[in-house]
Amino acid sequence: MPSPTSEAKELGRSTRIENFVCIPSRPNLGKDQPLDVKVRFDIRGGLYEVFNRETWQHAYEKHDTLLRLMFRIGVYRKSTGFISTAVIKPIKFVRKGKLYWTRNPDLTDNVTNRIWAFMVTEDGAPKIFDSERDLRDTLFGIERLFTISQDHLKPGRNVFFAKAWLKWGRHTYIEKGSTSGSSRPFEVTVE
Amino acid sequence: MAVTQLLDEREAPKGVNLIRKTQSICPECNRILPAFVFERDHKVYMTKTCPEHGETEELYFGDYDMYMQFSTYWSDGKGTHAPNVKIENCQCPANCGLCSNHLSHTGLSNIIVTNRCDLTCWYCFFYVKKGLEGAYVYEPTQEQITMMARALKAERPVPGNSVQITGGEPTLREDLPEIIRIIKREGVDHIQLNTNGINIALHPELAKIYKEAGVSNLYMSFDGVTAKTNPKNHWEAPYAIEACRKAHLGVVLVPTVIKSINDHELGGIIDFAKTNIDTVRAVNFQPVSLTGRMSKKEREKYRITIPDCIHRIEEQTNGEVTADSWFPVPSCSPITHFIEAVTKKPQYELSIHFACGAGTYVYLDNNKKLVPISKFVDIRGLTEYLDEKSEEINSGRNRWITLATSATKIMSFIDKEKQPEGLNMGKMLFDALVRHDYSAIGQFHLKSLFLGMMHFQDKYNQDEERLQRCDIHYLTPDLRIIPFCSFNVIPEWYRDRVQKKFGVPVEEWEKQTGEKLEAKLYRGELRKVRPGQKVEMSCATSEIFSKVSNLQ
Repeated sequence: MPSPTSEAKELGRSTRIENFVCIPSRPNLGKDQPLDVKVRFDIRGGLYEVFNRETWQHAYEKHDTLLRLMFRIGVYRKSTGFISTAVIKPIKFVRKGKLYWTRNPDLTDNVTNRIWAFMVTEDGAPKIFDSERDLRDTLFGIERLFTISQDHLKPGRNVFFAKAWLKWGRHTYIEKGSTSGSSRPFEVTVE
Repeated sequence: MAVTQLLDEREAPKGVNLIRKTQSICPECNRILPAFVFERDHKVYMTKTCPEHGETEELYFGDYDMYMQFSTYWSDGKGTHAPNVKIENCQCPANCGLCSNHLSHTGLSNIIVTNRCDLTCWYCFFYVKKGLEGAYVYEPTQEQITMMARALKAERPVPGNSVQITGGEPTLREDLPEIIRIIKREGVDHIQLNTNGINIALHPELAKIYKEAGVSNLYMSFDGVTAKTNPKNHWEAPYAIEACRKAHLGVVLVPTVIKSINDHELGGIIDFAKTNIDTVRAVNFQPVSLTGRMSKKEREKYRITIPDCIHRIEEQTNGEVTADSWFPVPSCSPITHFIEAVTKKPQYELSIHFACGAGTYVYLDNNKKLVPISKFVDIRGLTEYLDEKSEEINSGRNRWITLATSATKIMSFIDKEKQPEGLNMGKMLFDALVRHDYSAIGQFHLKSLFLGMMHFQDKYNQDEERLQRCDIHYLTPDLRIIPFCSFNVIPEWYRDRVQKKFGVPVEEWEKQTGEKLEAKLYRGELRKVRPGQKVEMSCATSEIFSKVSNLQ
């Protein structure tokens, strides 16, 4: 990869995690019941903005065709102390945005606009979208379901939060970088 | 009216799971059309509608789940930086040569040295037939072949390095050893000889002559293990293999698979290869490409796709080669990208479309059972890891430190308990990734059997996204490099035109050479031999010869 421009470095720095929420399946639990939690957030800022059709074309010409988003997400018990305990140890997964020359006549004129992107989910499933916006929103939008086992659920009030990290490599359009964020705490009561 | 037709042809099929939209051609008039690739009943189909000739729907890939899994390996290549045909607007399949929009460098280039053949197979579209209007004998001169090899080596960023000498039947050319030497002299490392093997069976000394001239392996047609399924060379193939065994020349068996004709013998073909694993390096199955005009009913009778073959192989090998052992050809790309990141040089890359080809390596264990590489190597994990390391190097991490740590880490993707005895896959991977040279890659073949699939297109299933990524090409005397699926799918634009331009009418060829075209036809001399009889031509009656013969 060529040396990143100051603009590419700035795009990396401005990438952030937004709308980070955890949604428990229910607010109250019986004893010895596990808890399902939906963890959801969006990547916004530089990386989201720059991964667009104009960039794809330029990156493709430099044979820069694979964007790997390396995520880690964990769920923690909120404590009054300095260290929070992981109730779900951070899981790692990779999402990919892959650039290719499309022959879809609705998407290309085969001259200036010819490069399109598809996504490979963390489960290894490909997703092709007709709209650039849909692709970016899905690629940069995370929703994962976690289950907190009953061992980590104490009688009474339990407060948890999720933490996420994102790392990506250097590309023609953005410098390598990372970002992280925490969700707002959520509370469940165990009878 | 015209507007309505235009809208119709662009309208997506209803009630199906649309996967993607691409471009194809009308099988009647070659008009470029929008085409829809969609899922129905767990299979993938293509449909396209010509305003003049109506709709054509065709089976594209016989297993939707496998299609989706394969598609995640999609990886566009570096293309050609020194195209012969410079065009702004991509117009596949027109103007092939290669053009500036082609996305793969040449992986394997075909040089047709003759279109004469010693057989007259009813289904073959290639060989010159006497008596037909416009029948030309096409035999490029040694000078033309020299220039073709130079055109291949002039490709950038990756010079071509692999040639298949093909025909017709190339061994009909008496100057073939000199042709091989010429191509070798021009710096081509890998030369394979595409043959029906009959001449080599008749004249076993040819195997040694071709080997010494520079042939790396034979690419031998082999359509089944019975005379019924393989009328072409059923009796002769064992003799040809025996000759190659003595000459230490590897053989790749190449079955063309046709549904309802030989698709029940895929396991038998692998078994035959297994028995001859000392000489047979690979089996490359080619699901049939349906040429000429065929009704939908006929096409459905014969059409078979890569996943269909893969599933039949699983059944017919009693589950030894499972369907999940197969990976699409571009799954090799992470290895290439890793080596490129380390060396900082463009490398040879197999960047064809994921629907074009698939492969796996199988190894023989002590019980003579086949063990696919995926049973003891975590292929997906390894490729993901290499992608990550390539990215780290490209992001500024020291490449030599990364290489050193990776060389150790790759061992963790190998399950040594399940690895066949005597095989050191860790060392082989280390050699391939660290030495990354021709001999290291060759080690994969020497201790295993490569099973491959290559589905060449036809006018019914033609997909421009596939064509644009094709890396099997033809070299022509006008120094063009034409993708296989243009050259043979639209012969009126490419193959026939080239052969007419650079060939001579049959009658003229007969006058010039004083030879009759039919004089070299094979008369079935070896078919007179039966098991138990003394075998002529200095060939020992091999075990497999008897085994195959007894299947009659």
